[in-house]
Amino acid sequence: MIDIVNSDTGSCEKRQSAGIMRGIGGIFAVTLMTTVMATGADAAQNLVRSSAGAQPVSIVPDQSRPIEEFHDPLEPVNRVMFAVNDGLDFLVIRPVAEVYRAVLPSFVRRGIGNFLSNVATPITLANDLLQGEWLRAETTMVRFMLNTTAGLGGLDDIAGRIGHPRHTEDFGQTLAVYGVPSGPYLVLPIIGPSSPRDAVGLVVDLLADPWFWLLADEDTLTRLAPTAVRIIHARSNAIESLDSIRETSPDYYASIRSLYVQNRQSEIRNGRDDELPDIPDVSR
Amino acid sequence: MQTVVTVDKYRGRAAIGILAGALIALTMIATPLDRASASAGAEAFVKKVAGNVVSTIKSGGSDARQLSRFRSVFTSNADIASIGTFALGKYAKQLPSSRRSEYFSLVEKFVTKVFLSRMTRAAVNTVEVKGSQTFGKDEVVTTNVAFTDGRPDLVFKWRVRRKGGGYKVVDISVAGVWLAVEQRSTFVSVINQAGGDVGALLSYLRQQVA
Repeated sequence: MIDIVNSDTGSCEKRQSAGIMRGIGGIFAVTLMTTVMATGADAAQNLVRSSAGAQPVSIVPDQSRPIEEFHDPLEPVNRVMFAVNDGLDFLVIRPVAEVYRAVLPSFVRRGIGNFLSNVATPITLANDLLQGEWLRAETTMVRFMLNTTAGLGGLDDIAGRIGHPRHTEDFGQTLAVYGVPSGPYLVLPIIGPSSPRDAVGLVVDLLADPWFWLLADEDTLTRLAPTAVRIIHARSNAIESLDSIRETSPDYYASIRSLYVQNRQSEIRNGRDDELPDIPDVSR
Repeated sequence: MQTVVTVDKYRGRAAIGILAGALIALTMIATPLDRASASAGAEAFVKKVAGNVVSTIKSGGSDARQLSRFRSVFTSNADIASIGTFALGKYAKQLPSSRRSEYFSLVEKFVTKVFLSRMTRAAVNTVEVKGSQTFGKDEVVTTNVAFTDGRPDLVFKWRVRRKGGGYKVVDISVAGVWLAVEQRSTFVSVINQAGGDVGALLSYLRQQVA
């Protein structure tokens, strides 16, 4: 924290830096929560961090590394935190998401989703490049240029319709590609499913997000607005999916954990099925 | 005499070598053709099953009627024994042989109910086959699923294997998540929380399908 006081103007840069730190914490928390809520959504989209195996860190990105099994040594604590987050979702997030969906027609919501994806392009592009994914970086750039211009600032995903599909990358995935183990499965307060590696990745992405710095001088509510919209939008797309999982799963916590871990592994492998679990051939 | 015998021996060896080479060449040619044939067969199978699933969802009717129709599709096309055994994870060997039949029947009913619930809530509109990939003895067929409620399309992958003269589904992946793996995670968790008692899982399944 910078401890500087401008005696001439009476303004206090110390307060500003403190505000930024609070902003970082707040946006971090909300972003993580978005991750959690988006995680369970849609029958297991998003989330799911996987590690690249307990191997020494290498500077050579290698997405073909064997995926280590996740481990949940903190399960009792994680379950408590999961219940707390679930309560928060029930009381606040889901009701707001339901109103969002009821008020806005689907084409408007689709436009909002497209716009949010478009503004997240810098993060995806940076991590495409860090992972040496040149073709995917090219696609990201083409998407951004097309959708920003012909797509009315990103409201319309024109690029997706003409053969440039959307994908996402983040620093947690980059760390995985570089061989950094994920560490134990964690359920963080408000944030939800995560891991030490991916929590670090989220902070880095947060600080690398241009919106974070563009809104640095604004009040807290304004700074949190983009993340809040992202959370609500993701939650609105996941209402039925999460309900279904909750009603049909013998263990909702275990389901969300599995969905999260698997989805993350898939993200890190860019959707490739390098390995499949061995399902035995059994006769009845 | 010895010279004649030597020449015949070499001719014999040459003939064997040529025959072996021909067989190897045929194998190399035949294998890609076999794979192409397997992929086409797997894709056609998934297209048929996916079509049945979508028509079941769209047919409407009472929940019981939909469930019955969906169960028929599932029973005919899924490898329930393999899926059910896999879902037990490390506890598979602890299932008594006397309870195997009951367990597989419960899995059949439970997975039908779960899958139908998730698919109907997901408002599936169309399923389009995009291609396939071979993994050992299995084929993974990729499909694109479009929805009626404006949400983005999703990639579903169907893991199928040859069995009983046709194909059977052993797992389905939705946006990178394999459902049998998720099922295994939850089943094992239930058994873990019951101190390793597989009977606790059976009790739970009975309650769910009652």
